[in-house]
Amino acid sequence: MPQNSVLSRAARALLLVSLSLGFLNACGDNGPSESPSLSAEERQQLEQRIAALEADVTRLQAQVAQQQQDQGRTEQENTALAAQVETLRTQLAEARELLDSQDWDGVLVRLDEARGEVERLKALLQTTEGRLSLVAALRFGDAPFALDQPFTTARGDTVQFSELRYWLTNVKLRKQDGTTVALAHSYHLMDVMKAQDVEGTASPTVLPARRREQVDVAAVPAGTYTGIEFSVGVDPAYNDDMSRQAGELHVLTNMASISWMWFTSYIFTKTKGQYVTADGGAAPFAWETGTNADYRTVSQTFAAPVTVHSQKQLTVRLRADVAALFSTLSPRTTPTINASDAASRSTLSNAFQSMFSLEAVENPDR
Amino acid sequence: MSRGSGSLVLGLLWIACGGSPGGAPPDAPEQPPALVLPVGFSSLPAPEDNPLTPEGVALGRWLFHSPRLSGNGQVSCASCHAQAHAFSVPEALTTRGVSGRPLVRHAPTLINLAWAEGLFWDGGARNLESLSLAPLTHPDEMGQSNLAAMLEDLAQDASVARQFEAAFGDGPPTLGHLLRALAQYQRTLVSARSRYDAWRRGEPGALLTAHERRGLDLVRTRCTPCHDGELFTDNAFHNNGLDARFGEGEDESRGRGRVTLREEDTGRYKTPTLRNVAVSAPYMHDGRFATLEDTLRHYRQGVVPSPTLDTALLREGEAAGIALNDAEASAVLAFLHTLTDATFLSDATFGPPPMSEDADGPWSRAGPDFAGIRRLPVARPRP
Ligand code: HEC
Ligand code: HEC
Repeated sequence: MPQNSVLSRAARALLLVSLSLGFLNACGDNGPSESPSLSAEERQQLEQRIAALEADVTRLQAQVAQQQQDQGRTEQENTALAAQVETLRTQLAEARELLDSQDWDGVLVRLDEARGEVERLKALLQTTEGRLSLVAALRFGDAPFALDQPFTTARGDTVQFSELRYWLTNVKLRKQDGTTVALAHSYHLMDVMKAQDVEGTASPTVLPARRREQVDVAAVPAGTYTGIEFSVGVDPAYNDDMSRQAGELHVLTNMASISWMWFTSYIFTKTKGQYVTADGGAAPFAWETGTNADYRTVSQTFAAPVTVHSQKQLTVRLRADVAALFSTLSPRTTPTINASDAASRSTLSNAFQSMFSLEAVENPDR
Repeated sequence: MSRGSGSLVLGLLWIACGGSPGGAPPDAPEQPPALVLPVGFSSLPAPEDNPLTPEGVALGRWLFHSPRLSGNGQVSCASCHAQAHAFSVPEALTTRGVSGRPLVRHAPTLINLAWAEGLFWDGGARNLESLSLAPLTHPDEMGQSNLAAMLEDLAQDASVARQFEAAFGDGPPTLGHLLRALAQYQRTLVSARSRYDAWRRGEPGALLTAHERRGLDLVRTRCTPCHDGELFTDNAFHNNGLDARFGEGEDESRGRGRVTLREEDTGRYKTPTLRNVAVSAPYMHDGRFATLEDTLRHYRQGVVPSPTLDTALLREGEAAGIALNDAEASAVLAFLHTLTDATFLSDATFGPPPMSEDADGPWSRAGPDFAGIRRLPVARPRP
């Protein structure tokens, strides 16, 4: 294979040389051997232009490879892009060869071609998918959120967490005309948790300790967007049918427990820990939501429209304030929220919906 | 969930599987046999993303009968859903699960589930795809505490893995595919070949006696709106007066209310079909009645008032219940026996897949000939 490409490259170079000879001859002018000699400075300029284009190509190649990894494209598209980059490299290699053979005009022709090719490739990559990072940084009021650390709620309770998990799903970007673009495979399990045994498996199957506050979406259709939407919970189509697979949805994550199974439901949110009782002792609280009625959608509008394409990525930074869950609910009066308590589930689901606020939108070049 | 557009006329499937190598026996009928559906139904509904395929149904049939899915390797779905009992069990609260502890409810029949809406006695499961997870993992049913290892075990068996691939494409067995195959098989459990059905279709020689027809008329007037239509269920939830008091919260005895958490659903249970009811004793969600006679006695004089008792059982100036004199009760009973579908109860294509001769797999390579694919002359239905 490498031998092959060397051969073909050499052959192509030969062909190009003869073509440019023909071109120069057709102009009734002198061939390469008779071309005027370039000053050292001019030669250096040409070399710099080649080097600059080579750097461009290297960047594009990295981008193509990145997109390949992100699986935002079909195999075929990837192959076509890779071939295009390869052609560019060949053109630049030829330019260097021509530079060595002092065929200045040939070099200029190659460079023009390569520049056109680079622009086309950039444009192509621009119209295709970009990336989104959605960060939902957990806080408790002004403090960073952490397990096993006491926090005081607005209602005066002292709480300490052992686990906080929720499904963040169906991320959509809003366009200027108000329509939304749904991102694929958008089912993400967000959590701050310690290692725990997987229910529905015998030990030693363990879910590792984890802190997940960020969702990275590779295949974001290029476009200009004015806001973002996502949901807390699993939509009915997937919640009602556990044989359906999408994104990170999985039964064996302790987010679809057996007692809920009678309801055919994922657990949408889990908030667990301890609170300080009236007599100064500690008692556990465990709050869960998870019927179709508990599904909530969050919508945020950006301060200014942002552009997403393969060379411009989007980072949306949200603040997820866990204190919001305790503004109307108290573990003292409601230590347990589960399937059988529809009213508290509804209040808690509303609180999850309201805990997100927009902190920053970053839209850097890649 | 959208249903209907994914539905499929099984005759087509038969052509598909009959065409597989070594599929049809040499004396197979020329005509592809059509699946017999209840009068008025023309296709088997299935979710769009889990249409019935011969391979999927065959895999589901094997899984349904396989004790390998259970925690102790000894209990299959069929342990508690036995074909001879219309896929139920003859004891009230069965102890056939891995723990040997009695369950809280009677294992219901599995009949015409393709048209069922809520599943379980309280409708807690919304579809067959999700439902299997409950018996699989319940410590008193199949007690499978390690689903991942169960899948691994299935993947290790080359013939099982091959059957999964045949049904769902390349890749190792997944939980989703297992659930889908089980659902596909269960949707083929159609009962529509009872004496009543033959008579209903106007098949030559198919008769109901005058006594039985009187019983049918009574069922159509006194047992509606609940045991209604050709499926003999309205797929809805009613309180038919079994108890005066019910549990609270998530207690099983709260019935439908346990799922919806609404007061008005307290004590409501799903109307079971009356098809094959003569072989599916004992009766009601807890199997409290041993015989059909006991059941009729309940409706005639045992109905207990409660706030959610169904209005169909209320009577002006009289105790709640259904008016049936002895002769009428006897006619109803006679009619209920015409709903026994002997073919459904014995059809080998619903049963455990035969062991294959070659060491190639646990099921016959002769191809799945599932689900009552028998061509019956379809005469004009009686009005
Ligand atoms: C140990 C006994 C047992 C085993 C094993 C068992 N079931 Fe059941 N099944 C039951 C009982 C009891 C119910 C009723 C539960 C309820 O309604 O609360 C039931 C209900 C059902 C229903 C609901 C039917 C309806 O009309 O609502 C379906 C479907 C079903 N089972 C399928 C299966 C499948 C598939 C398997 C194997 C994966 C299985 N069962 C294994 C006992 C069992
Ligand atoms: C108000 C609605 C309603 C009416 C009217 C009604 N039923 Fe039922 N039937 C039910 C419900 C609901 C159940 C299940 C109750 C439970 O298990 O808690 C049931 C259960 C049964 C069962 C037990 C089936 C099984 O598989 O366990 C039989 C048999 C039965 N009914 C026969 C009849 C007959 C015959 C009539 C008319 C004479 C009748 N029912 C009238 C709603 C009704």
